[in-house]
Amino acid sequence: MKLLALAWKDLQRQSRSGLLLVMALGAPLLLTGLLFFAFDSPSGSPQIATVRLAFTNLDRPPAGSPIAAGRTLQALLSAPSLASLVEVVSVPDAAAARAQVARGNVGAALIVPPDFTAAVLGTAGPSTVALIADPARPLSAGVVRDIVQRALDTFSAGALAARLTLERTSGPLSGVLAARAATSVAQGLADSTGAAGLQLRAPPGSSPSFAARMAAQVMGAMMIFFVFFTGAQGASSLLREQEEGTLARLYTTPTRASTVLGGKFLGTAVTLALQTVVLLVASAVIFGIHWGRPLPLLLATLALVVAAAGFGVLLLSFVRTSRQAGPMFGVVLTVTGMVGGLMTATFTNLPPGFELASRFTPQGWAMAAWRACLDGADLGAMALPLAVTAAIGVACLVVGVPLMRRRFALGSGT
Amino acid sequence: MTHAVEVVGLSKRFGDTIAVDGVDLAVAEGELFSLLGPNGAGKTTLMGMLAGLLEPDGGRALIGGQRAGSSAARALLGVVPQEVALYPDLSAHENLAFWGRMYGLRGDDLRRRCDTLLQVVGLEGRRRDRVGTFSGGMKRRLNIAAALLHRPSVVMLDEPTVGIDPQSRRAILDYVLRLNREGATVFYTTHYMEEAQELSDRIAILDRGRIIALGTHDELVRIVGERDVIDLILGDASAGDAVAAFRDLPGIDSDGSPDQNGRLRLLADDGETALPLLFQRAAEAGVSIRSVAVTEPNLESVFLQLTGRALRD
Amino acid sequence: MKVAAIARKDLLQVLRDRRALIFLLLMPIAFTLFFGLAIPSTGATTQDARLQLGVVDADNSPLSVRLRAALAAAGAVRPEPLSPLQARFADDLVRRGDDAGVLDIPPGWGAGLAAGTPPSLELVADPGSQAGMAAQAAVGATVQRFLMSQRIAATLSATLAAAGRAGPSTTPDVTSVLDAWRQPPLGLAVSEARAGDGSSEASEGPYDQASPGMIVQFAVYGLILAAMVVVVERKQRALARLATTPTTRATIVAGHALAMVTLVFSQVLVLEGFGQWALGVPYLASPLSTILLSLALALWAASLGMLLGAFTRTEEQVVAWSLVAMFVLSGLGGAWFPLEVTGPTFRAVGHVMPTAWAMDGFRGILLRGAGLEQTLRPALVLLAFALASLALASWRLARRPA
Repeated sequence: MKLLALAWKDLQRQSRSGLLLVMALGAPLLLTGLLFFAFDSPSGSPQIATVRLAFTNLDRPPAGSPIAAGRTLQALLSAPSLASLVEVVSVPDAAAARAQVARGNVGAALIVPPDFTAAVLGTAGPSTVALIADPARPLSAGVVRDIVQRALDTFSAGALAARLTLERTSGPLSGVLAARAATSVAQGLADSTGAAGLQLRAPPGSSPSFAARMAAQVMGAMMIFFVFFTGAQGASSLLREQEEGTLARLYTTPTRASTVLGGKFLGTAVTLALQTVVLLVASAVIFGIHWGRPLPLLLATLALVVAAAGFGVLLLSFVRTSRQAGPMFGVVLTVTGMVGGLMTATFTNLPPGFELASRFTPQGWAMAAWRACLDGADLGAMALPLAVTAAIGVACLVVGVPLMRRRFALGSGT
Repeated sequence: MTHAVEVVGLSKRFGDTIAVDGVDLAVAEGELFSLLGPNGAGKTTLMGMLAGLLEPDGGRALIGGQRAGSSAARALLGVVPQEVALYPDLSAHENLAFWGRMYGLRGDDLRRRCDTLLQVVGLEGRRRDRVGTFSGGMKRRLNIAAALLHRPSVVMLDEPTVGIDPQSRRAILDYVLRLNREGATVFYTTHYMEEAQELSDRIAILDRGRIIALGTHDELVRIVGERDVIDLILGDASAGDAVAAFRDLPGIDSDGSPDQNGRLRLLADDGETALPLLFQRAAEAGVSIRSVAVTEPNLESVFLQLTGRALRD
Repeated sequence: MKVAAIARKDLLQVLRDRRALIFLLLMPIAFTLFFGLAIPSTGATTQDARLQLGVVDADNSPLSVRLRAALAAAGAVRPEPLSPLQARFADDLVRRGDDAGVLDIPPGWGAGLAAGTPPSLELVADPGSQAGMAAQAAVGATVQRFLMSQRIAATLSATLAAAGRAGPSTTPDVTSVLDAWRQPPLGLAVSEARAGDGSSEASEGPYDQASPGMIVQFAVYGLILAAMVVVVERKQRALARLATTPTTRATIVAGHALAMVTLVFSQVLVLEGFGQWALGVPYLASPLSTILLSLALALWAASLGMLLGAFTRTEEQVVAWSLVAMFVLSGLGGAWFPLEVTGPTFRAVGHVMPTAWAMDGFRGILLRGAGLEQTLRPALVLLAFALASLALASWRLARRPA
């Protein structure tokens, strides 16, 4: 009964700490919400800003040319189907276009050279279109590059057909044949229904939305980070009680030291479990995250609680006062969280050492367990990260609890 | 006979410092016993050993016949620590309910005791308010209440009136007297002579870890032999000469040298006859006396007599 | 003089607390290094930044081999052949993120392509992930070229046949068209525009986002210190004592503000120095712009801290609100990732934040070599926010009893 009373007292105190509530619940939901909001879109796919493209057409089609390829290119890029990606702005000269990019007024500039049409017709050598990108907007530059390259490929196809025809034929009609070949290819490409030749299949269980997927990973990471924070705060409440004098007072009552410390641990564990459950439910409702099957979810929660509580107890052995505890815990938890991969949960293509380094932290193993849970993995696949996470927590308790007893037990001047 | 509190040869050392040095005392059941001494005398250390917070280095202490620090002893004891030890973010009622549970109370009994004590200490109207919002006096009253939930047979209060307003102080002293009237043995530490004098059946004077005197107020005062205390305030320039000037006056002893404010304390067999002698000698020696006060013997003078120092530093 | 005295007192208090140095300098440096290492750079590094693409080539024809080579040469993906056993777990490989995608080349694809009726390739990729989308774009572009080549070959054959010129030596096949693509008639040359010196080939370094991002984020941390000074002074009754001296409230506010601006500005300069000399981030590309922007950032952060201190009562409230402010301002303002990659609403909301302007200013300097003229706008926006915060803080402090 005393154990429950002690735990209940701690729960009451923690629930009344505005800062703790902000850190335990507000911060992880806020951070995840920011990212969800950042990347949410109606299509479900990531979207970037519409790129303002300065277009300078210096093209001089040869006399009698049936096409003005520069103008055609501009019309292609201005098509309604590309309006969400590119907004074409005419700029008369190249220097002005470059200056616009340098000042950040446009995302990129495209400069069509004078021999563009001639190159398309195959009556001149290769021609090079210049794309001036804004170095501060590399993604936009990439998008414009891909769009322009596809458009140029379409033009090139006709020119290639003409060149190949000329290489393979001779005589007075070869030029006519070349032109005919070029026109047929261009026509064929224009008429084509764009048969894919490539089918895309998403693996079962993939998130339909980029933002939801990102939110799930970030929420998992932030939940782990802030549960560890709460675990450390729970352990350091012993310091606070020591400084407040209530710990000594507890020892004047007929309550055993093991009960006092046990009640503290129970209170912390219940707080952590509650925090995890609230975050899981809130994130499922707000962001539509599917956390996985019940049993793996339960085991992942238990493992996280044990790890966070144990780590907090271990950290406590290294601080003397509650004033020290705040920054010390902040630094250690931030560094171990970073190494554990909590800040890079959504990064792809991390350098090889990162994955290995994360395995040296309890947060890294917890993240692996939660990722598996999110992916709908079965218990067999989750067994290792779950077991290691829990084992690290138990190990921290085995080392930390005797140190804690020595620090906070009777006769220690408490 | 089982004493409520029994201490035999108790000692405690911190490094090279002997905080409590072979203390013997026994407090009878129902007695109101005070431990008087200046700051640093060892009162809190002695209290800590009785409460079971500190392990003695020597001797033994018993509470109601039980070893101090044992669960049985703690169940008999209600300890009111010197600093307020309550949870500021819990309400008055929540604090009492929690501490009651730590003393093994439950259910209706706990509820009744909480309500009673809140009324007794005058905090019934603030039962739902967080202790962090209370004034110093209110916190101290609740601090006492939290030690009484389980109806302890021995109540220990460690300087409970330090730093509070006179009204709250009066309320606490009245409550301590009431506790004792209702049958509790009270063990009270203080460095205020007036409190010890007003409250106690017996007083022990503690200095530098040792009991230097123990008895009723009258018994202690008799140590100084009913000598009068003469307090002088000397002019700045005269202070240094005063001790030499008064040294050989008959029936007059000094406590040493004047302090930085020019205060000099003397003990005289008879204050009335001593004064003219003092003034005459002062005039002869060129010592200026700015003020003089004569008081009857009290615990201050006992302490002064026994240690050569003032009780209040 | 009194203003300087108050500022000096504040700085002494802050700098004597070792915790402040941890959060002012060590943490931003650690975060910068960490995120810089985590993000592969677009410049030359030893790390292969390409996405891994699993390839199941059940065809193994010259054309399928050529397709794999073309994918590798394109530079966005790194094809890795999968065994038949691995191929059965393609979905798991993609779901786990081991592969950005798995491309399945069915048997007969090469022959089918040559004949003009290629069976469809299948790409297993998560369209909801950036890696999946990048893989889809890269594979799609390459496959498109192969299909285009086939169409060119087919059209040419038909054209030459119609003219009676078809023959084994004249009719091109897919392979010869693909060979011809090596020298396309139309090329695209990409360069970057930098202020003042025309185009250059410079590319974004790994710390060019992380360094200014963490400077902005931890400059916001400076507002915790600013707010704490104000709150603690009030709680410890030192403010009441100050008020009994012939010192005006305006002087007190100015003193606190001076201390905080000095602290944050110094912090920003130290971190920029670290970025410049240890990480190669070109803060000195335009030194006056950098100083102007840094000063404006410091003024804003300090003033926001004063505002927070004026409205909060306890240290705990200061910490809670400061952390919320730090997360929101950094997240919305592009300190964690460029606003370029976010949706339009987020970008619009983000640019209401002074942090977004600060990041715009820094990215302009570091990536475009922006000069004073271009940096003036973000600096002025920050100054406007600073003035507004300081005015509100002063008003509140003047009304509030000490």
